[in-house]
Amino acid sequence: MTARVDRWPGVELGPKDIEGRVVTSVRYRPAAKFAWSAGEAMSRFLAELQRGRLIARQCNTCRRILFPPRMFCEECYRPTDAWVYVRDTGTIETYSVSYLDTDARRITEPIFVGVVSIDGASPRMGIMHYFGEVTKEEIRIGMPVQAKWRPAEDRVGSVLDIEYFRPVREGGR
Amino acid sequence: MTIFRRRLQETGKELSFEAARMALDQAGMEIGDINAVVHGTAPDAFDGVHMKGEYLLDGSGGARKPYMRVYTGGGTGVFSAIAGYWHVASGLADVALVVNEEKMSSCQPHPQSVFAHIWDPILDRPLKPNLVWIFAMEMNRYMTVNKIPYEDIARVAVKNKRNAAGHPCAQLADPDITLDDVMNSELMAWPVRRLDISPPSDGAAAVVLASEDIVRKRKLRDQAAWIKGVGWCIDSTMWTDRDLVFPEYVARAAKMAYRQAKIGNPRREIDFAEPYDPFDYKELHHLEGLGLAERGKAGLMTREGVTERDGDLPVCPSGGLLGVGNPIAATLGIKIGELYWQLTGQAGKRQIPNEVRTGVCQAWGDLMQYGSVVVMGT
Amino acid sequence: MTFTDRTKDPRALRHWYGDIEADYVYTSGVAGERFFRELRDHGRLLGTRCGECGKRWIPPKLFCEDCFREVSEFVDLPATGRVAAACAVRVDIERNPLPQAVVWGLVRFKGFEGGLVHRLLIAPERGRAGLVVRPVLRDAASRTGAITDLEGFAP
Repeated sequence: MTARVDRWPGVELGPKDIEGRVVTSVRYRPAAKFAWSAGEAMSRFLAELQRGRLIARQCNTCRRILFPPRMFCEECYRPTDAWVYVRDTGTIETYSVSYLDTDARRITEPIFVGVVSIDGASPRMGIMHYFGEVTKEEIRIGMPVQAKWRPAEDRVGSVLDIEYFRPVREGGR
Repeated sequence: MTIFRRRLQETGKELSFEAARMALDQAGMEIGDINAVVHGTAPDAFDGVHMKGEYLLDGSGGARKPYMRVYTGGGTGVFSAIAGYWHVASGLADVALVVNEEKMSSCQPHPQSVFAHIWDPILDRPLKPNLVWIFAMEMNRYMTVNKIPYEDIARVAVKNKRNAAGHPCAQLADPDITLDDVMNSELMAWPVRRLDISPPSDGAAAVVLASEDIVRKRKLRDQAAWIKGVGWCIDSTMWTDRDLVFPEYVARAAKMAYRQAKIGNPRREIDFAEPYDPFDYKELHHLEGLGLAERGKAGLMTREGVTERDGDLPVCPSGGLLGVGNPIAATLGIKIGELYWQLTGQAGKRQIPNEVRTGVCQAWGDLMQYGSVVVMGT
Repeated sequence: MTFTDRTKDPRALRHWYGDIEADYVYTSGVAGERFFRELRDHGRLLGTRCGECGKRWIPPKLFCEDCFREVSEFVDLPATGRVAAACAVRVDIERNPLPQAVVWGLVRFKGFEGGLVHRLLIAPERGRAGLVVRPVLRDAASRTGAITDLEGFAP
């Protein structure tokens, strides 16, 4: 590259150099345990999920219905004003069909995952979730979907109280 | 800069030293000439050392000096140079040393596993997200809304991996790679295939930033390139509420940098670009954000060869992250570094055949929300 | 201005439990490789000497922190060092009382910058600055090329 550089430093290792302990190394696995406080907005959101409902917050200044709910509007930078229930239907904004699990391991049955904007909230406000009862040929951006809830007795106050979103079939929303 | 590889033996401190020492040698300076040190490095969780900035500082020449660590996710690759620029432009330092390092191989079995912890613990993490997912989702929305064929995106990977063949530090250079190779590579998370993605890497890079006074006094004019404008911007972390089609935060960062650099028409006034390309679609996304392509048209530019090294607007002549590697913050060496080498005519095999006077580089990061932009000129 | 709605019943506020899982391998690096190999294979402790300013460093470094020059000369440590600071630890990391106090110290070596933090193999009341100590090694077969190849330092 430059005439003055005659050596680009770095000693490359292969996986065996480390796994086979060809070079010295130490191993460490931290034990980091947390209890994240859900705070005002998320505590209510989780409680409503357990009841089978989705809830948002309204900002009276910009008139947006914010979902997921938060106690402040990041645009107007002031507290939000009221709780508003939104529907459990929405639209696929984007999606992926993943052959990778969370640790980047290969899987044969793909995971359908994407962003759903929720009806009743302001445009494009949504959450990430799974999709089900749909094939990779059928799924598309703009597809109307509805939450498939877990049975009431199995809900714990988690985004996983919704098993997945599935296409709205005949009859519409 | 050091070579970029999946695994390097050096510790993070040693990598930092190697890069910083090279930069000093090239500038004809010693550590005593440095008034302040800025260290850029990504989350502590990759190297597996908390207070990583403090841990690394003896290796980056920061001991007993004004020193700061900056971190803006993948945006750090360009942002640390902006932080270095503040020191010199403000007059607080005559000479600042900027050192960026990443040692992602410490994280086992794959750095992917700690990416899980950048997500919201209540809203996102219960779904066990994989980092590739968000890029797959953004790429899908970008290509579907703009009706861009996948092959126009895959062409970016081909171009950059070929360009990297001229880079002495490259990890994934391939002068013979074809469009079919990319389009038929393993499907990871549709629409993303394996060769659409840059690899995790170890590496370090460094630059010396000096005031005009110092450049004049030390007779460094012949080997200097100038920072003409800087800009940075971040969008909300509530990424599921944002339109992912256009990177507004990059556009705002670019506008800030162009205003300072007095660039009114970037497509005409900028000779080449080094946008952030951890995924092939990101190069296109960012060219649009930088105002170098019309919205939805960067793919067409790529297909028509405009962004090749000998094209009208060479893009990622270094080989980019896709070809040279992606040691997050250390991509400083292929963004700021490439602008410097191209503008001073030192890029060797990678030198753009047309004369270049003005270049722009950009990095991107956090949860698809951060843009940092630097305009440099002769 | 504060939040317009506040939960009055603190029991309604939730927590989400989880951990940050991660697993690491740290390579010893270029200077560290030489240091730990010598320790593991020959039971020797080495430092580095800067060719520029002559300063000696323990643990060894690839570079001199002061001159910021690469360092390649390795030198033996003296047979004994001196405790610069010590403390007696009586609880474990979760605050459970330990059956026996463990003494930790910073050991410095004459002519060397830096030092080694390690266990002092002594009764707690003897853990004082100034104590002259020598390294105690694990037996050769159980050494792995890590700082734990040292049992600690004894008078």
